Amino acid sequence: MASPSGGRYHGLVSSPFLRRTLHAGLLGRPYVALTIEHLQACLDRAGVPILVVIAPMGAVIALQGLLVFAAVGAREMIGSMLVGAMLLEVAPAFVALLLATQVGSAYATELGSMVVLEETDYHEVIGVDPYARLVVPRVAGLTLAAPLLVTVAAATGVAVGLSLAVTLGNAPPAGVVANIREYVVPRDVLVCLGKATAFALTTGLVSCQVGLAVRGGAAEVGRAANRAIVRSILVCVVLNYVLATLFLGGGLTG
Amino acid sequence: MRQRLAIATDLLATIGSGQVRLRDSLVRIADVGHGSFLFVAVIGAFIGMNIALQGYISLHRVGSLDLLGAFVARAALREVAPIAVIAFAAAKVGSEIAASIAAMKDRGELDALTVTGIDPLAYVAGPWFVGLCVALPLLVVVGDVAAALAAYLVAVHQLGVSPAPFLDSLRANAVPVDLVVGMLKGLIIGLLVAVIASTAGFRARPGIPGIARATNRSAVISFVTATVVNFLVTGVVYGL
Repeated sequence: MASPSGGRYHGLVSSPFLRRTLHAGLLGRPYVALTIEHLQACLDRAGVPILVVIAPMGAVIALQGLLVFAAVGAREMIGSMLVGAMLLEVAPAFVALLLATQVGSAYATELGSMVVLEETDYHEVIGVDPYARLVVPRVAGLTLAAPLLVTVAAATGVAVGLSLAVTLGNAPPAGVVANIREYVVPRDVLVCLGKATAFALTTGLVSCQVGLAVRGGAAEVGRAANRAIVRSILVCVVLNYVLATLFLGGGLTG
Repeated sequence: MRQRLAIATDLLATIGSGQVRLRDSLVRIADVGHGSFLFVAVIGAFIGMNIALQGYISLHRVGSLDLLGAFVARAALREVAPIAVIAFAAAKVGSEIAASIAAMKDRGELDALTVTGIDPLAYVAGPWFVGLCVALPLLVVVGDVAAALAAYLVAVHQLGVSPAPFLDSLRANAVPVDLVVGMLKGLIIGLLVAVIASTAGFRARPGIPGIARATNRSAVISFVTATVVNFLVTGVVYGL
């Protein structure tokens, strides 16, 4: 069952994976229709789950925040705290986690089964670059889906958290709005969109690489789904810290 | 849906009747714990580092840096590190269980077990169940410890916060109850994930697409279940 392409796809950095993906993405034939198809698939797959996940997270943040702010008698602080946490950390992180479990694992199994069934080699034989046709549209679709998903996610999380804070937590609505106006800056929205996009791009690349590196049979395809989730999340967690450190430099001077 | 429920109740009944072998369960405890230890430590550490950074940025704005320890204790140790560790382990181990059971089914091994008179639920799924329920709460502890250590290192060495006030406010706000609640979340979610993932494995369709689909669905459902249960437990414990 071993693929005739041998050890060509090993390792994300050392292998030709990044080089060939970059080459196909910049110079290869663009498969626009396929990219839109993958974008739609991402939205279909992750759209509802992200709402189910982010709504309780908004509620948890509101709840824990109110415990602290009620003690110091400043319930309206929940506004900027919730919006800030959602935009800067929670919404991008949970979109990334969900894209890794939902879409990343699917990419790894799809490409993995294509390798096992020798469909990737077939692409090469008939002169179609598998990176241009299989990898680039998937990564692009996922990367384009991220800003849309994170917008919906952050809006939902904030809406759920704030309505909980106002109704059950007795936070004053006018004070909450004023607090958000005072502390939340437009740059926070850009950070939110940028982080989600960066995470999605990373997840797409990692998952496709894992999928193409599959060797062996059906059991290996299942294992690839698992590996894609684990590696994507690990890389995103590290990336998150690096980005936060970079923003720290920009945030304190700017 | 009815078939899924039937598998789930059968599994719980099998475990309740004590048919699961201790030896296999110990192996699975080691599999889950050892297999996720490093990842959980790394994720916990980066969460601690990140929350220390974010807390520093917000507290710097309002000029009360001595609250950084309290912020880390409340945000990272109480809420974020446990749920991140649990959701990550749920997705990882959940997809592992589904993939391995689906592959066994595909190769006819589950039928072979039934023919030889061994209950596949007790033999295959039972040990995973015990493994998750025991190891996941322990992984929460690993995540919390890693988060606290990493937050300290970032606060003191990267951000230049003075160690004594940081540790004082961390100690004052990190209550043992939070650790117990985190472990309780791990136990409940581990139990649910074991049932969800083995059910997905047992119901997998044959062939590569079947295995792939079972793995993928199991990962997503486990992950979503983890966050929803996390909210419910937080709501009950800290008052809603």
